[in-house]
Amino acid sequence: MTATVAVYVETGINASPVAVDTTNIQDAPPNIRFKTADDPTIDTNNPIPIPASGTKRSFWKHIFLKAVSGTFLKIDTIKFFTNGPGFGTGITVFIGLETPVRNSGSTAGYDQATGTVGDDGDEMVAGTPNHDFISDKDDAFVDFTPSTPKTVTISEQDSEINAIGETSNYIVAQMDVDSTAGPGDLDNEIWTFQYDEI
Amino acid sequence: MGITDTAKWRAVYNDGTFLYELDPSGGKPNSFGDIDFDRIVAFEIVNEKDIAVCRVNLGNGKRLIFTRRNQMVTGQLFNTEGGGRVPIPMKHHSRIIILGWQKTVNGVNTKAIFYLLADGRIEMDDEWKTDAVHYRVNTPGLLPEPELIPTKIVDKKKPQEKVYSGSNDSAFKNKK
Repeated sequence: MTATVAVYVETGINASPVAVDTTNIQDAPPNIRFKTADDPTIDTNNPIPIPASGTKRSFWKHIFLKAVSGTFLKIDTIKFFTNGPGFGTGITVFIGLETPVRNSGSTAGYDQATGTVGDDGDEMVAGTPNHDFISDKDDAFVDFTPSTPKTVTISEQDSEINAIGETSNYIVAQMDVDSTAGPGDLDNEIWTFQYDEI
Repeated sequence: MGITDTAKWRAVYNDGTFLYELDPSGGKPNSFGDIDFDRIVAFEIVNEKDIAVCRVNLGNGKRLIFTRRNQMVTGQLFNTEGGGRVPIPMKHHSRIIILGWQKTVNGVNTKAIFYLLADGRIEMDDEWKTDAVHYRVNTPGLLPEPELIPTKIVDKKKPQEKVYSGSNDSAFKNKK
């Protein structure tokens, strides 16, 4: 009677990006890994190097919700937040201010992540190239808590998800690493997506 | 599975009949959109034994508040004591049922809101808050909507977070 909603990550070229249900990437969490490559695979390839100075970045990721099964009238009021504390010294995960357009008929807000594979991703806001639809960014673990969640907009008809296959817009996320970060595979952090359903 | 995972709704009509989300005697499931709001006098949440555990009496200008608020969690917590990495059992999907009514009295939107939490606790309040759990619900209104009056902007950097009063939420959505 209720909807089943999944978290998707989308990667690939702008003309035909590929969306993957994060629960299908591997059997157990983590479901999303920041890396210096534009793919959704959870592996140890293409880690983000710790720079001697300045910042190295992951390739940015497009993340959205999709109704995949069930019976429901509508889904709306989508929120995103973290429970902290974050990945630690020298590591920041940013979320783009805008939620670019993604719906069941369009990936218009998608802009493929770019950079040097295995070394550094392009910054999603400042500089060129950047994400075409992101003008600013916030710290995921500082700015988006249960008390201050981020609103994830919907560009389906009536600004609601009311059919199987319909989606939210994207949130765009990117990890920054500076010289004070410690090496190694980081412990996972928890992200929460919340939505209302009737 | 907690009560918020298994509870269903039923609409109580003015002739004493019910419209069940899932009729205990069988039959097709009904959508929230199937409810005849011209005839409804109460809205109930029923448990698996068909016992109403929450009831909202409507009428006298009250507009229903109802949603299932779902939280999906990505990631995994680990216990790293002793040098190992043992996954900590955690629920990756939980649900809150939000139920109540709102009514405009002398131009003021008054509310009674129940939060039935996943662990069985119940909270009651008379106003929405801005945190994730207690955020405003967009339930279709039962009556014509009053004029929308913007009151404040929570954060200029996030214009979609505008807060309005004197409205039900369908009106709010149309103004965004």
